[in-house]
Amino acid sequence: MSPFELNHRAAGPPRPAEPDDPAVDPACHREAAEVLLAVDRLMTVGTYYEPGHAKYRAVSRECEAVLHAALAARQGVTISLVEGGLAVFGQRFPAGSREARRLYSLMDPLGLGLLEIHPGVTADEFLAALAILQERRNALAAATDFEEIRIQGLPTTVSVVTRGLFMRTRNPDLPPGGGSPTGGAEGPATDPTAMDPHLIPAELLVQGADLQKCEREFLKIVDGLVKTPARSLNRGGGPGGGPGGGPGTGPSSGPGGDSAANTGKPAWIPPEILGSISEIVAALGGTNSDPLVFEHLIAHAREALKATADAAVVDLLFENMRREVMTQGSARPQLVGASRARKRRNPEPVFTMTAAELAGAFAGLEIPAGPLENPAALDRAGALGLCVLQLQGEPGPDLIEGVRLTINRIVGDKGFGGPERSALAAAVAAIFSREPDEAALTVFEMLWEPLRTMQPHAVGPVWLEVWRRLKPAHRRHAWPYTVNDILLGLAWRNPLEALALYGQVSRVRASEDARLLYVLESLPALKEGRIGKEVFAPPPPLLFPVLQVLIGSSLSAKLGPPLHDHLLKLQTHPLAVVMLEAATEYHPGNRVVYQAILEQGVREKLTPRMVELGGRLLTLAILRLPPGSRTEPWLADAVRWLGKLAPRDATDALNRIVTEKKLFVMPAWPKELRLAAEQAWLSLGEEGGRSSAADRLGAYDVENEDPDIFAEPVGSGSPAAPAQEG
Amino acid sequence: MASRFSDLIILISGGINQRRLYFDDHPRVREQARAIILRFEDVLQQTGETGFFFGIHKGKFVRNGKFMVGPSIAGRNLIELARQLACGGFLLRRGLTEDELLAFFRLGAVLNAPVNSLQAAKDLFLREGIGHIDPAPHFQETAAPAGSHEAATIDPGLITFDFEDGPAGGPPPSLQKELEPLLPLFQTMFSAVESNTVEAARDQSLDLDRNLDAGQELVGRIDPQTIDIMNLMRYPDYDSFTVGHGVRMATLSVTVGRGLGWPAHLLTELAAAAMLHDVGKAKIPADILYKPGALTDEERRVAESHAEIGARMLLAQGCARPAIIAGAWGHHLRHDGAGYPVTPDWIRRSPTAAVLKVCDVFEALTAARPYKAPLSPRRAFEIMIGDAGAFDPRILTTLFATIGLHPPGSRVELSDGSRGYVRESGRNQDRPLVLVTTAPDGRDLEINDQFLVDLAEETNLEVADFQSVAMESCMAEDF
Repeated sequence: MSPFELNHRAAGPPRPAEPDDPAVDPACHREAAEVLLAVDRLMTVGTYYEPGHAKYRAVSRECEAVLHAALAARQGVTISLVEGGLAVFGQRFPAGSREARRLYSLMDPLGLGLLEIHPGVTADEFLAALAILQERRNALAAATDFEEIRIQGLPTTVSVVTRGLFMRTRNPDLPPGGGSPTGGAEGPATDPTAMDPHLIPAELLVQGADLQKCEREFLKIVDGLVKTPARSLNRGGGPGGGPGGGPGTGPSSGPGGDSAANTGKPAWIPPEILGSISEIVAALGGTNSDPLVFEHLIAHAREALKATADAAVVDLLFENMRREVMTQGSARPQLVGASRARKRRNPEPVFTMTAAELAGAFAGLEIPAGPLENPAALDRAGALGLCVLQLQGEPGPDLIEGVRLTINRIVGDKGFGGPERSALAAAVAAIFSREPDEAALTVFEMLWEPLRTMQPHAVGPVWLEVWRRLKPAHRRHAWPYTVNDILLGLAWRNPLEALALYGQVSRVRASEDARLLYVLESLPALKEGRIGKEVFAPPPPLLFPVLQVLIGSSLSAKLGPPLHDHLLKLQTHPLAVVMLEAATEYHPGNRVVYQAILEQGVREKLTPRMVELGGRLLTLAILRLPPGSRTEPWLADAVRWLGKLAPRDATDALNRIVTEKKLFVMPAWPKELRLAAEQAWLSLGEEGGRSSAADRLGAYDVENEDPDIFAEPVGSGSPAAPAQEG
Repeated sequence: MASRFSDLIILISGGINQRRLYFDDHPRVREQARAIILRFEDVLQQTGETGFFFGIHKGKFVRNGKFMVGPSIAGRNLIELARQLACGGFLLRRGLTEDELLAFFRLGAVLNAPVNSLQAAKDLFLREGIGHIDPAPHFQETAAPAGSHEAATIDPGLITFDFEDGPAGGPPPSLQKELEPLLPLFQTMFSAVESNTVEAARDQSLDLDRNLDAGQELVGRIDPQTIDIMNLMRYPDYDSFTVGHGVRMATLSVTVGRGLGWPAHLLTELAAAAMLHDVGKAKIPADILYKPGALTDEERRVAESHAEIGARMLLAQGCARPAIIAGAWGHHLRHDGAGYPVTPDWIRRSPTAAVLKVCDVFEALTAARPYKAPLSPRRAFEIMIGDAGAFDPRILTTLFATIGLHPPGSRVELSDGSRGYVRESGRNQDRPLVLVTTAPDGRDLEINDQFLVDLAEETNLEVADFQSVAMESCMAEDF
């Protein structure tokens, strides 16, 4: 049992004893911790919130509930100040622990041994009690002399007992080791102030007014020493003055040499003990700061008090004094300005790492080499992404307008560079990662229009990055918009990037997807009939698949003639050259021929379409050739191709060349052509025995064409070419 | 008790701000008035005085002849009110009612033209029904002794407006001299962050230039060795600490940005981003923001939405700098990809947001809050390094290197028993440059006798004990 509880006399029947072993009963420990934490919270809530504040009320209610729960099974909650901490329900909590720290720092300086909470307590009452204790502690710090600490005005549901002075000067009626100071067998006295040194009734002290005064002064000094040890160490004199002066000077006339019988003192107090008390009072009155001397004084006082009070109380009483004395040399002096800040313990827990370990931990962090990449650019890139994110979330008109202005601001920044472009590409790729709906396209336009307007050199590279980010199956979603920009004209700084983009775009088999042309038709380039010189710039077969689609679009009339000249100049295939020369110029009816030529590209082996269309075109061209044009240079090649291509009407054409006469006798065709025709005729073979020209010529299988035909050139900054279009 | 007075001033100033936001009978305004009345009565009871006077001089609050740092920073609207009323302070007298205080708030919120004289101000108060608040005359800076008719004596029973320098808590005079020129800057910043909240709550346009101007001024005025003045403040309520948090974030962010080598114009944007990073909280219900206990999932979702709300507000302006937008959005995003708001991978992470993330956590750990005591920088660093995945390692390391274990202004005790203040963090985290102000024998040194000790060179000395300015400020008022 706590030594304080031995001496505490509270109202009401005795409470059940509580276990003193902290090692048992985790549930009890938990409950005790909850009580202390509730008290702790009540102690702090008033610091920052006025009583009417919502948080104040909420915390108060919660803490009150905890206290009531603890009180439900008990007749009171006692918080004891024990060595090095607090004890509740027999559970100990160190002074530095989270649960006990704050309350300990309140009880310890005030010398409170017990804080009792009685049933029916409210949070307001408890807070009022804490306020009183706090005020007394404040007064303690401001005190310049020993003073009596009176704890008054506490509500009836909260009581305290000072620890310092549980001594009872025995009277003959007291049983050894304690008991009722009033004698008898009725048990403990009911007045807790009975043990208060300032209030101990005279009948409990040694007889004799001087001795009583001496004893009171001694007790007062001891009490003061416990509570303000620092001051006591620095003072040159105490309230008792030096020997021979003040209230501590009773010895010479007091108990020192008088017999118990002569002075009427109780026989059970040895005279030498009483003498020691007097001496101690005098000596303590002249306390100096010599720890050794004070140690002796403490030892004497201990001996004296041992005879009069509980040993455990004495131990606790003087242990503090001893500790303060022994640590005086390394005690922390008050810091500058401590008149406002009281000396108190560092509330923080012990550090988990030494300073060196902490520095080492930071040094061990993996940090990328080099300085942080342009932070402004990264911020712009991040903000750009956020713009897109907001636009995707059904924003209101104000937000839309704000985002639009922000995008313009970011894109138009003169520092617009790599990170921002990547951010833009990422956003656009996210848009085209699925079939874009109207909303997505609106977002795209909000991003793209300022790019076209303010950063034209970035349009192409951003498109390239978009295409690289897109999965192959999704690239078709971006095709129309990319082609639109190509037609509108792109400004490139890096030609390899241009080639890389054209290669990506060319991979899409747009001619097989009518929807792509449909979308392209809705975009400005085709609507305005604009053809950028880009389309004819790259080497074949780049963009041929695009031209293949375009020649079948509303742009064909405008595109056809330059395309005819362009293809003729490129001479991508001998047959294509002959066909183009045979056609002489672009004619809308020959669109399929151009598509076939574009499809053929630069492949050596002929596509089936080229075989068919080439044969038909050349046959028709020969059959319809006016007599004056029979010396055209392309005719000889055409005749030879007829023999290879073996179209249906090839024999008619060849026969005509061989047999046609003018003026009934003269050959109508030049000899060279007649010879070529005869050769071709022979190569056609017997009727019915003609095998498929495609088979004989080994026409190219477009379905299984080489996927690397549109691979990005080295130096365009791309990784390995992506998989073939699906 | 000094803290009670400063709390009152900050709360009164906060009441004016609340009134700017709402109207007289709004529950929050009334609650603020009620809270002040209760505290005021408590103060009077504690002190036994009949009133509470605070003066205003040179744009700062003064009480008992000492400038009050915290209220001066947080109470600019009250200082401005005094200027418009041509008065040098206010006396609040016993009997002050809630309605009178509401009227005072209203004056502070709506008065936009100065009155001609102190008498006119007094008449105005009477007309407004404010009978227990008296505007005080200006302090006359003369050599007249305290109590003379030339001093701005308000009430014979109360403290005289007296400018004698006396022993005080807080930094020593030598450091106070360093802090004083910075006060107007931090007043401006505090006022800016306050105004951000008002504008955001009212769906008004945010004055972004105000924040950028303040940020630019901050960048030009502080360096890594400047004392963290905002850590001197005590906040009596949530509103004031939310604002103070934004201001302190600005100083920390600029310090870190400097350490990263960012140029001045980016530091300016970083400071503005810090002041605006929590602007979205103006739209979060107070019941959730103020809730003392754990939030439910739904409440947490609402609370976390402040990041997106703030970013959206800034986007809607159309003229916000990208760094500010990105900072508002991403200051709770973790470096390892977690955090909020949910952000697609394709959106580039913002360096400004990463700096704010680091500073936000550090600020929260090391600042005094109504619900917790401040931690030392060292403890804060321990906690942060324990969750290193949350932070950009380069930025976290820079914070550690620039702030150090002993930030400027912290009180230290050296191993020889002498005491003083950290002047510079120093290259070595644990060995700062210290201004010794107290000798080992406990004797306070005169200003001219104070001296610097560089622990990086004085290897026989080390820091034996440490208290940051926040720790000191908080621990003084433990209950």
